[in-house]
Amino acid sequence: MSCHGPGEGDVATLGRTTEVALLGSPNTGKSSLFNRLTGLSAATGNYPGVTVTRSRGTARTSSGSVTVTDLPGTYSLEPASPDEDVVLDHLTGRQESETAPDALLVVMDSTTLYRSLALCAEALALGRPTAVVLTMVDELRARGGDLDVTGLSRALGVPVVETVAHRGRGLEDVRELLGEVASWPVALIAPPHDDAAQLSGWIRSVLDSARYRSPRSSVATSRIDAVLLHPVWGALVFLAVMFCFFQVIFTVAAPIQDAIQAVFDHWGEVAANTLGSGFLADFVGTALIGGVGGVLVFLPQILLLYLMISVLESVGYMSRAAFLMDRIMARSGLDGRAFVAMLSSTACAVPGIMATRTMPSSRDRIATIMSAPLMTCSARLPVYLLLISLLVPAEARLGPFSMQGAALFGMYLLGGLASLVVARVFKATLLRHGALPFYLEMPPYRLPTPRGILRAVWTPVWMFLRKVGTIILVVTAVLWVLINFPAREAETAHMDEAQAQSYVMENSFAGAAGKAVEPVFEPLGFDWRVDIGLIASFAAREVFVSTMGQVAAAEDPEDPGAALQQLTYTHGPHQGEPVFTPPTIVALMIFFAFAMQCVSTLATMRRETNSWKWPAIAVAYMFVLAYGAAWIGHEITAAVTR
Amino acid sequence: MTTPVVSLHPEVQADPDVVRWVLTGRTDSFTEVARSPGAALAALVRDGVLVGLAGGVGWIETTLAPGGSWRDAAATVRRAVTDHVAGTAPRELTEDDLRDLAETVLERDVAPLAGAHGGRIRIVRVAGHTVSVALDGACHGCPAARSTLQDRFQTTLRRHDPRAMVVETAGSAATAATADGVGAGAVSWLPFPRLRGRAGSRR
Amino acid sequence: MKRSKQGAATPSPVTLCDVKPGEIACIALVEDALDPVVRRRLGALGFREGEQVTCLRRAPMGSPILFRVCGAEVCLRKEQARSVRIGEWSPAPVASVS
Repeated sequence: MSCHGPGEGDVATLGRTTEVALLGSPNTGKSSLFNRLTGLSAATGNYPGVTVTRSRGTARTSSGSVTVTDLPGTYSLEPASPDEDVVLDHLTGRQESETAPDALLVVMDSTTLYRSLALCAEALALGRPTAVVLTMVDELRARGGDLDVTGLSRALGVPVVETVAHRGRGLEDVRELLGEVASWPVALIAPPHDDAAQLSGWIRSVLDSARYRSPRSSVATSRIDAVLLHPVWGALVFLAVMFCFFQVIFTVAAPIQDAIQAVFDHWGEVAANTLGSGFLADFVGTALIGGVGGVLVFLPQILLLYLMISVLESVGYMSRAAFLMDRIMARSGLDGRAFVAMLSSTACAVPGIMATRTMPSSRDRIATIMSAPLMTCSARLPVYLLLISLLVPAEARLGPFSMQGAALFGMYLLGGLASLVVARVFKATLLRHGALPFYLEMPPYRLPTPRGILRAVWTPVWMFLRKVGTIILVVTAVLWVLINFPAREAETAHMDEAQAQSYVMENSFAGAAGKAVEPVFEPLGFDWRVDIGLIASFAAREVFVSTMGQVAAAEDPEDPGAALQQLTYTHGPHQGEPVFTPPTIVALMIFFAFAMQCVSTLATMRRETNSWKWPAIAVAYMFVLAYGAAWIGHEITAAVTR
Repeated sequence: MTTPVVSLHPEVQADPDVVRWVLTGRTDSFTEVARSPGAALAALVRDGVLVGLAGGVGWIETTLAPGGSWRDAAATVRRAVTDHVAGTAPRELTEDDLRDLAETVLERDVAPLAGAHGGRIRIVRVAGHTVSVALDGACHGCPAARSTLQDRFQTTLRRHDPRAMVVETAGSAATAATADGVGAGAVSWLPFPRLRGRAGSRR
Repeated sequence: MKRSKQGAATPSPVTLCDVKPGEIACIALVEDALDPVVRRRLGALGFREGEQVTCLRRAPMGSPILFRVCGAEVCLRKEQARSVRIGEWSPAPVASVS
């Protein structure tokens, strides 16, 4: 019988819980296992300095609690990038902020055991207490494969447990295994992972001992892929799926969002009425309740988007979509997986940026994160709609299409093209180094579990609420202060409410700021009131519409739309002339198309890139791009309409 | 491939200085390894790295010299064993080889299976290419169990000796090695006595 | 099985890029000139010397290409597929996969 040196497996557990790291390739059900073991105790965080995340939670076992760390899925421990360097450093204890895990639990998909054993060899060579969990064992047998767990265990020299992670069978065995982590053996003889021929011999020998029979390829997957990857049918299905994405966002999410907005507006009024008038009432009503409402209004979009992305991802369709889209995405230096992030960004850049987590290459991830916000998001829609209504008469036609609709489509196109070009530029300049070769694994189609989906949706949504929500709230509060102070009570005493509001705004800090930056935006044709709108919309783009609404309502409470159209410059060389001329409107639309005016996006960028550097670069380049393109638009339109 | 790949993997034995190199690609016996080791293995013994060599059907055991560590020696020993195996022509199994093999297979694979059903199986006699076994306990009298065990045993033996046959006899006296099936408290992780396992099959 | 070595005027070697859907090939060599990181990554995915690879399908525009290797299905772009040289392969398709 085999046993390993008695002293080598002992683990010091006095004073802190044992930490077990889960190691395995992507698509092995490792994360699913992690979630089932740790339940809601899991927290995700970044390794310092890189974009890679790892999750950590506590698993209950019969002999106490064990800390389980889910390492990023990897095919090999040999690092190919700074991201992977960090993981290896963590495992070997060279990472300063983390202690090396006490034990390793290697998770292998039994249907691809032949390939996974190479990673297992590297793990055993690390010389730590190790055990193995095999997943998808039911699938292995259903596809005609077979495996003798005892034989495998003996050949590897470590305990091996079978599971069906999706359905939780075998989970109790894993818990029991974790409970006995103190007696996990250390491999006395490291498998020959550095010599290819010897490694091959080792793998074959181990599989032979385990009586491993390879599964047939999944018939169901082949049949489905024959359609989904077909040049014609596959493309059609893909378009249908993308269409559904859009439909769900605009027909399902939108009404819910309106409902949420209405609820919060109502509560805002209630607060205002109960607290009387005055600053506290206004603060609670507008800033607090309005702010919270502003955060929660994102929820339907993010929830639905994430739900769809999670379902498609766990079924396995995302790889197929990436396969179909890769050639196109490659033109802008990205890979097919970026398509999902880009597409999601047409609803909201926040889930789009979070969706980049599935991309293994840090470079690609950052390039996508930098360029995704250029896609026309739903927050820009109210702005576009307002400005297009000022620019184009409702009746105008372009052939059979409405001119207004065509203009909107044009903006979408502009955003899409810009994001692809910017991604290309980033890949060619700032992100030049550290290329990872493209690869894409196509897992067999698998039915997702509802629990798994819920967890996959809940984690990012909760993160959004906690982290991003805080920032939006803070910024909303700050902006409220800027717009409503100094109070000017004396001067507004005799005005009616709309006029008073307008006066306060115009003479507030924000107003002063607007007037101060007016010279900057003068070449674009913006006047200081538009500039206040720009400043206010830094929190969220839709705020521009309500700010402009306030301005217009002050001028003419009865017909703000007309008032806006007839807004004139109050001073300067164009005094008396209307502000919203075609060149100004075009410049404004282009500015909104390209400028970074979303604190939530910035916060999400910060979270996903784990630094302030990239959000700062985003703000800078987008401002320059917005200004430059808006100016060009202004000049061209002025020349054309003169 | 220009170089043939030798399939082998090490299994540490009860004595941590002894490592059994399991050669799943080879069906022949290496009992001669102690008497005529290859050049590399002989060198290791001569240099004092190894103090013992043993062989059986599809395995070679190397015993490390006291004070040595496998961490340092493993790579060299592995290479030496690989060279020896690559350079040794396959040899047909003798009766002794078959007996050794049958005992190992019995202990590892067949007896636990019998034990899980509450029975026992033991080798009575080995003659030529035939292994005679006796089934007791619950297995005795259950035709299904009998044929399953016999088949299993025979299939495993045949991976090494295509002419092996397992027949059941009514031998009462135990002449060859016997092995009690491990009882109902079968540990699922057999090689790790310190780990409590759960009984029952997972099939 | 012959390994094709890089020489001055060798005919263009057969690579994974040339394998048609349904055909099986055996990997002879993962290009020496490749970045070692890339070579290791390909190896970790299963594209190791001596492994059998089946081409399953190509994307509508020629890239990426879907292969089955080491029991898993993995896509590579044309450029990576070109850097994996293959040895003898059976021209007869095993099973039509389209």
